[in-house]
Amino acid sequence: MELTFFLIRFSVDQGNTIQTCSLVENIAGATSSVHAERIYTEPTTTQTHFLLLTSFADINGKSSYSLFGFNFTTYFTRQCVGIEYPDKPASDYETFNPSGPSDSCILGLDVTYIRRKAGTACFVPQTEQVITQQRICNCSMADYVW
Amino acid sequence: MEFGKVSGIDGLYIANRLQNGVKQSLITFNQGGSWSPLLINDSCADCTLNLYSPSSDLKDHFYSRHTAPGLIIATGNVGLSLNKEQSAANTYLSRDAGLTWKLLAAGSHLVGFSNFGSLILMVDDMAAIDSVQYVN
Repeated sequence: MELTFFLIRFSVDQGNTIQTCSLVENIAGATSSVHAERIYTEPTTTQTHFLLLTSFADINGKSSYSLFGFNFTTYFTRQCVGIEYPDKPASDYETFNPSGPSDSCILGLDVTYIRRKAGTACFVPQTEQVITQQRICNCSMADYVW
Repeated sequence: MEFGKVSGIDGLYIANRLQNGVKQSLITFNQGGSWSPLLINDSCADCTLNLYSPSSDLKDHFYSRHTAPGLIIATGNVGLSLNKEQSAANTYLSRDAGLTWKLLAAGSHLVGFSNFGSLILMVDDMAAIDSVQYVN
């Protein structure tokens, strides 16, 4: 019996620190190394589930697939709060302005997104979609030619 | 593909430019009006981050979603030019839509976001599976 070892690394601060845990699975009939093919998610739901499709060669040399489900629901103990007052210490949300290397006006618009802070261990309730605020930028002298 | 769009933010594209034998990744915030290299803190002052394939293909070596604005995870290497050797590949993260980057994990990974980017799953896709990672 060949066991596939999964090392799970996780972080509550979007990659600043990464923790690890492991699980071991027996993939029946796998005669070769198991490779990851694709991750499937439901990115706009409150679910924190993933499906992982893996492939391997079976005993006849044919490609076979194994699907694993990951459920992180119990990892999150609370909903994010404070979308009405982003950037405040009590809020789990922040404003984000993709300014690029120069200024915040891109293609004539100054767009601000409200998104979850990185270092907060909460899940986003489904009612709170990605919020964007737009401001039309005025032309400056640099936008004209003689 | 050596060219791709960052999901969820207008005007944002990343391309790989081959010039005098050097392949470098460049990002534009204004639909191609101006381009700049991908910045990363490194002991090599002239080095930039260069991505394997800055388009969302089946393997998701370049991963961004409109549900998590500004968040990008991509496979590449830090240097003067792109090095496509497997051993040079690492996984990098940006939270400012590609302007600045940091090392997230060694090796190349499949990536998935769920719940508006609250949770990120990463799986090494070059070696045989021995690791699954998640980040939130």
